[in-house]
Amino acid sequence: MKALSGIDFVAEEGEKVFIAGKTGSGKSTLLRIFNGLIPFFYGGKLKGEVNIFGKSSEDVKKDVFFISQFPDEQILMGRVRDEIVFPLLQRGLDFEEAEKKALKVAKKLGVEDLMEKRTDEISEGQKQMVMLATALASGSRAIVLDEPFAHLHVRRAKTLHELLLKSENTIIASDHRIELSRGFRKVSMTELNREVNQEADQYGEDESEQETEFQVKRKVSKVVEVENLHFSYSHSDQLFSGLSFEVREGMTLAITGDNGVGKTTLLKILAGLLKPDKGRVMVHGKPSLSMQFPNYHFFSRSVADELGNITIFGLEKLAGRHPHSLSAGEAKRVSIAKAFRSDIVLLDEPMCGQDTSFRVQLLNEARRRGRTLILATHDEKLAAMCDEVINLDEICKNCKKGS
Amino acid sequence: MRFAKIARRALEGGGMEERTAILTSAFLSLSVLISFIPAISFAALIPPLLVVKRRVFYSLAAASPLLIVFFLTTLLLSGLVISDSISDSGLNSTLLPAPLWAALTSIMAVAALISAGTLLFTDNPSRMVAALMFFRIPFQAAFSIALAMRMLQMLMRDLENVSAILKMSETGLGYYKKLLLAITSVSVLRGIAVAETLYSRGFPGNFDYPLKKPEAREVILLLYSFILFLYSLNSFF
Repeated sequence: MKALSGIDFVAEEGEKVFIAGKTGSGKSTLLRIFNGLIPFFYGGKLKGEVNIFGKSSEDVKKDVFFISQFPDEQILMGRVRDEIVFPLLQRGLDFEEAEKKALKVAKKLGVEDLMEKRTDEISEGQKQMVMLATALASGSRAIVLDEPFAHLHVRRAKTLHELLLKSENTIIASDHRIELSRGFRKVSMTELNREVNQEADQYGEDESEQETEFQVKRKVSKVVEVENLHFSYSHSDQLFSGLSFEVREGMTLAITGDNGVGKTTLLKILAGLLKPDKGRVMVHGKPSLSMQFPNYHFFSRSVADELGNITIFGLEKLAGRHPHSLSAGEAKRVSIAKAFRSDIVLLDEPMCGQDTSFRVQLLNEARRRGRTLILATHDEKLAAMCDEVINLDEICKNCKKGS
Repeated sequence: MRFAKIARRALEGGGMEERTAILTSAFLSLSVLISFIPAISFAALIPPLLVVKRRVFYSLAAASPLLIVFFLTTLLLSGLVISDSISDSGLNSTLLPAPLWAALTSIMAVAALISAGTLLFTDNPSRMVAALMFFRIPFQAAFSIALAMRMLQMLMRDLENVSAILKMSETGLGYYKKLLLAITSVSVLRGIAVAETLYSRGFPGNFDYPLKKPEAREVILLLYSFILFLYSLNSFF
C-alpha cells in the first residue's frame, strides 16, 4: 500500500513547521521518515532522497527527537525526573548538570511539581508535558512532534505553543488543532501527498467547519444522576468532593478541565468501572466507554467485525482492515463508533487524531441517533458545541485541598 | 480486574537501597533453594516483610493461582518429590501426612522466593540500573530489566482497562477469550512502540546515575540474609 508519494519537503534549520491534514493522510508516516524510523525500523520501500542535517536519516537519532501520539509508550523511566534527565545522561552529561537542565525546562513548562512523581501515576496530558520537557531538554537540533497538543488543556497547549516558537530547535509538528499553528509555516498534507490522498480520499470530508444539523431535543428523563460524589485514589489527594450533576436523555455534555483534574476518572465512575468513596451515581441505561488508547477496544480481525451493522463516520471504507493496522486517528474513530452501540456514550478525548470536521460529525451522529453523549475533552470548540459543559477546574477548586 | 490491581500494587516498589536489595534477595533465594527447609523459608520471609511490608502480601496474592497449582501438583505427586533434605533436617512433621507436609514445604519455599523477589521492585528503577551496572552487568541488560519493570506496570494497567471494557459487554468464556486476544495484541503493540522509542532515542548511549548509601538497617538485613545463606550451605553439605 502506498502511503506517501511525490513528497517535496524542506525545512530550514530553526524553522517551525506545522503539518496539517486529514485523519489517515500520511502525517505520522512522514514524521517517522525524519528520524529514520521509516524505513530503517519499520521497513517499507523508500524512493528518493531524505537528507537531515546533511546526513542520512539513519544517522540522526541524536539530532532529531521524535514524540509520538501516545506518550505512555515513550516513557522509559519510573520517575519523571529520570525521564527528563535520561537523554542528557545518554549524551554523557554529569547527573547533577543534567538534573539542573531538566529542572529549568520543567519550570518553563510548568511541570516542576511533577518531577518527583512516578511516571505511571500521572495523567496522559501530564505524560505529554513530560515528553515535551524531555525533548526540549535533550539538546536535539530538531524536535518532531506527532499531535503534541492532543492531550493538553488549552492553557498548557498555549504555553507549549509559545515555548516551541521561542525554541532555537527546528520544530516540525503535526496536529489537528489548527488554531495552534500560528507562527508556524503551515504545510497541508493533503497538498503535499496529493497523489495518495486523491486516490484514497478516506472520508471525503471538507476540512472547513460545518454546521450541526440537528437541534437539541430536550427530554425530561434523567439518564445520569450524580449526587455528592467523593472520590480519591489511594495514592493521591481528593479528586472530587461533593460533585453533583445530572444528564438528561439525548443531551451532549462536555467535561473539561486541566490535565490531571479527573476527567477520565469521572468517565470511569459513570461507566461503573470505579466506585465512588461517597455519594450516589445512578446511570439509567447501558453506558459504553471509549478510552484514550483506542486499541483497548479491538477484539476482532476486521473493522467490519468490530462494528457489526453500524455504518458511521465513513468507516465503511476501512471495513476490511485489521483494527490494529489502522492509524491512530482511524483507530480512535472506530473505537468511538463502537461506543455508539450503547444509548449512553462516554468518550475520552474523542478529538485525538481527528480533523476539525469530526466535531460536527460526532455531535450530529449523537443527536441523529438519540444517544446521550458525555465526553471529556480539551477541545474548547467541541465543548462549546455541546449542550452543557462541566468545567472540573471550577467545580473542584477546593477538592485538591481535601475540603 | 482485581488481579491486575493487586499485581500493580505489588510492583510499586519497596525503597531498599538497590545494591543491598540485589544481594539480600540473592542470598535469601539461594538459602531457600539450597536448603528447602521450611524453617529457612520462613526465616527468608522476614527481610521482605520488614522492607516491602504489606506489598509482600499483594505479591503473594497476585501469585496465588501459581501457588495453588504448585500446592496441588506437589500434593498429588508428593511420592516423587518429597525431598530428602526435609527428612534429613528433622523438621518433617509427625502430625501431618507426608504428601501434605511436602506440599506445604514446597509452597512455603515458593512463597519465600516470591517474597525475596519483591525486594527488587524498587521505587526508583534508574537506581536499579545503576546498581546492576555496579555489579558489572552491561548497561543494555541492566536497562532491559528496569524497562521490563516499567512495562509490567503499563501492561497491568492495560489489563485492567481491557478487562473493564470487556466486562461492560461480555461474560463467561467469551470474556476470557477476548481478554486474552486483546491483551496479547495490546502487549505486542506496546512492545513495538517501546522498541520504536529506544531506536529513535539512539539507545544505549551513556548512563551515569548516582547511587545512594545503604542505611544501617539495610546492612543489617544484608548480614542477616548472608548468615542465613551460610546456614543453608551448612545444611546442604
